Amino acid sequence: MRRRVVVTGIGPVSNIGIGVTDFADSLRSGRSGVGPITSFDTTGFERVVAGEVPGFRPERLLRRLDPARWGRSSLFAAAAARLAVDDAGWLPTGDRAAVVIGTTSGEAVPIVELTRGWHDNGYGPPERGLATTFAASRLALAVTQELGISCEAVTMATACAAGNYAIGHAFDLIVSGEVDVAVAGGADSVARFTHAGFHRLGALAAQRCQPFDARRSGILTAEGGIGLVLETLDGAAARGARIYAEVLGYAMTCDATHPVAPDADSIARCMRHAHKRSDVDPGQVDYVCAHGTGTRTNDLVESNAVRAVFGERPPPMSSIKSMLGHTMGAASGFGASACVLAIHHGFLPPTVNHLDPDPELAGIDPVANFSRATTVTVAQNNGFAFGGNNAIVMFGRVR
Amino acid sequence: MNLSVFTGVGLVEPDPEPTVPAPGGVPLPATAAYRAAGFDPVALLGRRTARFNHRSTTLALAACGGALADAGIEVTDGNADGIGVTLGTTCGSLAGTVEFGWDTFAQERPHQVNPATFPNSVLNTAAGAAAIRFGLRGPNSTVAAGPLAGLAALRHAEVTLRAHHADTILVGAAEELSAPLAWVAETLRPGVVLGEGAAVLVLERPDVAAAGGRTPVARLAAVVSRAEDVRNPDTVAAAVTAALARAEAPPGRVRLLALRHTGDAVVDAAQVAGVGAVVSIEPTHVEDRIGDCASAHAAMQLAGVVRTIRAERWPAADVALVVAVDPDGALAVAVLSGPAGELS
Amino acid sequence: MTLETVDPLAVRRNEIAEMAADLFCVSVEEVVSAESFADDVDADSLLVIELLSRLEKRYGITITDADVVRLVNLSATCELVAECAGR
Repeated sequence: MRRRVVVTGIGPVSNIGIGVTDFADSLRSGRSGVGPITSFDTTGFERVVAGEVPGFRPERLLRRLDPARWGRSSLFAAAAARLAVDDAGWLPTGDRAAVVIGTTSGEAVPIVELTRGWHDNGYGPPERGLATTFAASRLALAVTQELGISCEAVTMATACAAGNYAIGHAFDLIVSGEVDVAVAGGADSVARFTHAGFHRLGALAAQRCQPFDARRSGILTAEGGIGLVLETLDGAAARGARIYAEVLGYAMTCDATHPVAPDADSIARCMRHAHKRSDVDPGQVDYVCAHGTGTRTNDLVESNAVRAVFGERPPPMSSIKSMLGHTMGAASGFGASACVLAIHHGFLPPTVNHLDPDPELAGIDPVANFSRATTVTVAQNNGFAFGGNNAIVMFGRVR
Repeated sequence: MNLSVFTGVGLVEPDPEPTVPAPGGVPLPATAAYRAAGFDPVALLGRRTARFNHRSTTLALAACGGALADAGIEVTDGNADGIGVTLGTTCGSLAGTVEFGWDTFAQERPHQVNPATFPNSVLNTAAGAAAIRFGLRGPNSTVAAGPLAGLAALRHAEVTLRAHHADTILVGAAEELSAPLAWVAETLRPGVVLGEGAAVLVLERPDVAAAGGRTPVARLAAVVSRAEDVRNPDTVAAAVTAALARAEAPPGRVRLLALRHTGDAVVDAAQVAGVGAVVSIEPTHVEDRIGDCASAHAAMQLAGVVRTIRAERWPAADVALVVAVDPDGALAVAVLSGPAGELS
Repeated sequence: MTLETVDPLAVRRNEIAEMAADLFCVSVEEVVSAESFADDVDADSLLVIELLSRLEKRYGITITDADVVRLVNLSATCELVAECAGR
């Protein structure tokens, strides 16, 4: 009898809300959190909009960590974990616990500053503050040290699907019987190099992210941290925890064709595996939280894969990146939160900024502009990444 | 027992003597380093692959190719979906990221970066490149674990195999010598002698190896990877004890113990005392042969251990320990044993 | 002795051919004879954007993201550069 895994806590640090109540309210009302970039000098860029979290005050959210000793992404991860365990009502102990945090760029801001220093002053030993904070491995350790626990901990660096990889790995650890509770999620920071890279690829939108729209023009980079508390169903029930939803299973595939362009067949295969491992038929899926970056390519490829798997009338599929922007390693963690909240509260988050349906995406219902009250029993969370790294997690209402 | 087995090893080591940097070129610390001067990615991988993939990626590709060949695995349409990759890293290619981002400061417009090198700034680029080169369509993962990289990757792969997400996983790590890394090291550990290299091992479930006609060369008896107070020898001792207990191996059967100097005096003292409290044999270090290979170091030690187990034909009851410690507050212990059977 | 006139467009075409050959890791001949960069010399989308990036820097022009789809082969690329350069 396989152990069952449920979500009992959600800790979002995002540009549409810090804490699960504000975050859920924003999802429901379709609030967007993007705006002009303020965290770095945008002189010379043509695209200057992103989804920063300017209201992030780590010193107010953290109880143990000294913010001066950690990079921004680590602080996002730790703050999100703190919010999640508070929401779960779980007193962290290290016994049989795990922490798995996903990221795309790790500590991008210190690396930008390292580069700036070498560029401006020539190569030489950098200042200690940068040398001690740049490693991506620190994200998971920031969480364990904030919570004050010793436990299995790892940072998953699987780019823009990392949140799903983190949740999936935590799920595997709990199912294996070695771990009873895990904090899983993701974190990334808005940074100059990430912005420049997508800018150069022609993948940045000017003002708004418009997934599935006929005139969609790309992503907006964004940042934040997200943590979910996963634990056994039995354990949650025994301590009278509020259960949001169950993690039914997940799957991973790799395109193995192109470093950045997505592959519909590989994505469809990932969906089918995720369904099989979760013992779910496509017809049972009520909602898909899309990867939905808003690029012409992703939304088309994703829609093709969805239609291949679900047929001509797939379940509604919305992209919360329309509201948040693309939070990179945190993105599928936020997507998982949206799935879980959809199940718990009975609503579908919208794809906002949707003006013109794209005839190439016929059959896709993006839940245009307004959230929709409806029962959600099974939800699918998509995550696709550079390197052809795909991971899809299935969530369900607990029966 | 359901332990994963190793069926192949790929290893790229630096040249046996460290060298000081040649004059000219990017300024480097004066310290010597172990370079893989003979490593020629163009000759090994072709011009196109070598052109746009950073050195840490091409080192990883070479080690992956070596591991597949050593295991005798031919990747076909029939098995590609079940072969995955898990690599460990610190922050991807720091040099690749620095070089990519340099143009945001140097060019006339800040977005005039080189798109073809954008992937080099993404942490999972090596694992993705390995999948492309060898057609590996199974689960493809990257863990960022600094000094623990190879062992954290091993732990992730073990869990992934046991959950039947994949049948076979290439596990390892790579690290290149570069100016950015050398200068960061100069701030954190002045005078440290660095090295570069890559190691990848083929890890499979025993039934998969058997079905493929592959003979295991060693067994993964246990691997633990944890956030811990690594300044405390008791914590270190407890982790080693736990790993041996999970492996069902008494400390007296440890034949080989591989450690690495972290450069933090308190942490190194705790490591020696903590490990020493459990295991009485002398630890071995490889820094005098390969330098400190950072993200790749533990993986290269693993590869060396597997080769030793194979060459010396260890019985299943004999074990080797590879320990990695991250002064940021984490440690990992892998317990490897001889391959076959359950009788000692 | 006569001076040979140098055709600047031909010079630029050669330059662009060499740039593409270097980027796509093929010979100049293959670039010249390719009807489609993607199909004939295996140039993926990233490399084509890289080509765009180098053309912008080399010739001091701006090629819009929408125009990247026009970088189909050598002739089309030269045409696009000529348009953007105004000559």
